[in-house]
Amino acid sequence: MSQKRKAVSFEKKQNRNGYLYCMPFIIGFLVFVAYPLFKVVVFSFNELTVGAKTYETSWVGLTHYNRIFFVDPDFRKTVLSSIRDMVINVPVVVLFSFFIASILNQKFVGRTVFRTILFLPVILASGMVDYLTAGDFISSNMQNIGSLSENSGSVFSGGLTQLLTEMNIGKSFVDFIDGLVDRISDITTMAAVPSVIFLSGMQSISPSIYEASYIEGASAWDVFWKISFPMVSPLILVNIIYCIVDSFTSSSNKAIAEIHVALFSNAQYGLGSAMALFYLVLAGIIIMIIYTLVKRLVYYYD
Amino acid sequence: MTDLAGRLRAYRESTGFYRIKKTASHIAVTVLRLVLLIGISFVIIYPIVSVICGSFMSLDDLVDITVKYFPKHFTLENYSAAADALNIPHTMITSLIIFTLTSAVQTMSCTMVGYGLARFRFKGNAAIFACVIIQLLIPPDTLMLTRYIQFRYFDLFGLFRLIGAGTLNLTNSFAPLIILGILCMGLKNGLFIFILRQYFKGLPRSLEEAAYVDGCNSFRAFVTIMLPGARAMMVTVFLFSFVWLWTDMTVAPVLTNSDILVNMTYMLTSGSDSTGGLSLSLLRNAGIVLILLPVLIVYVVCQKSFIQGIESSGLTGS
Repeated sequence: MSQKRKAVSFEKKQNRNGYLYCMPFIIGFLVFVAYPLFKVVVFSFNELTVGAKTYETSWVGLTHYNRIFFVDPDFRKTVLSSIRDMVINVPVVVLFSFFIASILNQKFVGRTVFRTILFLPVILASGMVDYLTAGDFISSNMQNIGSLSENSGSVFSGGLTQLLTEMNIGKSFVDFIDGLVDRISDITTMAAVPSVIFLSGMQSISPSIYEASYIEGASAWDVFWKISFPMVSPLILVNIIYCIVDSFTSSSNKAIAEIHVALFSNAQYGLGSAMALFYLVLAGIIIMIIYTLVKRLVYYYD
Repeated sequence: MTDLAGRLRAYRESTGFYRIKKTASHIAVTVLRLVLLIGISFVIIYPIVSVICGSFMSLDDLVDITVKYFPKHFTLENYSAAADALNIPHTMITSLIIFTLTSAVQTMSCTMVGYGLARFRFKGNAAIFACVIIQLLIPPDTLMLTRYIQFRYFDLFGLFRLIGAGTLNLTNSFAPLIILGILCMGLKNGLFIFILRQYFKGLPRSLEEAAYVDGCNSFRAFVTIMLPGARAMMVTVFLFSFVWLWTDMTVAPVLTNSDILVNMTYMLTSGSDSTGGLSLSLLRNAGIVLILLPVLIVYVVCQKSFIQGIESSGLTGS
């Protein structure tokens, strides 16, 4: 009996330590996430003027929301188009990264070199590179080599578009492929982190499972669909969520860029806060919906 | 059935034709894989190569239609101009110091929180972990305004005003980055906490139990037993943190006016000249190369830590 009581008190002590370890995050979250979020909600109902020593707010009610929903024609469109981009990009990126990971998971000469190159976007995909290369003369000049003809494809898709058009495939399909090929560099960039995640998943599958199935006479095709794919399926969920979050929060997202301009360039703090809040809530809802939908399809190996 | 299949396979493998077929398919797969990988690598490398080529060009090369990649008039002038515009030795060293410090602080506090979340079952553990995920989901721009105001008129829980002193303007120093780092609120710190938590979750519990039995307290067990084991993971987190901070445009430029490299990038995009932006374009190419060079060097040198760290992180576990 006394033994048991001692164990409980030891565990309680442990619990206290847990809070201690998490203290930096708890304080940080309260001060730099919860409080700013609360402030964003308050600001979105106010007009803000920043002075030398302090800042002042004046209550304007739902004006900013009214402007977002009914007056401003651009922001709604930007948000919708960024959602549309997300819906098109995410499945492609997840498939592509799965494909890359399964190639890089094989053993062949030069694997390390290709890994280094293919994961390069992990470090280069940042706002700064986008910011600096946007509208650059040389890079835009070089990327438009293929666009001398009337169809304005990039250097990668000029010939392909022509070929597909001549094959009389539906125009919308050609446009879709064309768009994908034009975005190939975006897609490879976005796929870098998901493919690292997939690769780590594939390498953690025990080789004995493969061995057993090969001994039982399974073909490579069977093994892929019945072992590799189900085993990494939890990571598909992780990657889908990662890609959505990434596309919603990246600085190349036009809606984020518009919020940034309103907040920091035009000093429309109230309006910017309202836009940010609206966007955040929308993104949260979409992520919740997709999470609950995809979660059912995932197989967990225990 | 399997026996039959095995015998069939053994029979086919004994014939010469099957061997040829197998070698042929092996070669085909190798070639196909190589073509695909080279193609994808090209897409990634191409912009970098074009920028590097462009950075060595002179104005004559830019208008010369026969020059596509390799400049005829090789010049280093762009680099000296870009280094001047960016105030390079000074800003580079400042960035290096500030970001190294920030990354180190972030890594330490994220390791601590990750450990706390992974190893202690206390009330609210799940809630705190949910907060980590929430922090990951919120676009930094949403919170940046308030954070700016918090640091512009810094007031420790209203203490300064209570004493009668005014608020402090921290945005002139790099203190905001360090403060956010200590409190795990820096760039992508939610991700780091997540990775480290998964890593610590994967370690056997007996490690600490043995230490506790020997009379070690929890903090000492953490420092002397868990930290040395997690060194590889911490290096990975440190590297990612450093590299992402270095190229970030969302946090550091908003919160601090210090002489870091990011705060000088406007020099590369603003300004007009008689050549219609051509010389600015050359300047920008050289500037991009100069800015990214340290990060690229770090990546190539520490390539193993970057990739293997993530692979061993146990990110795989749900």
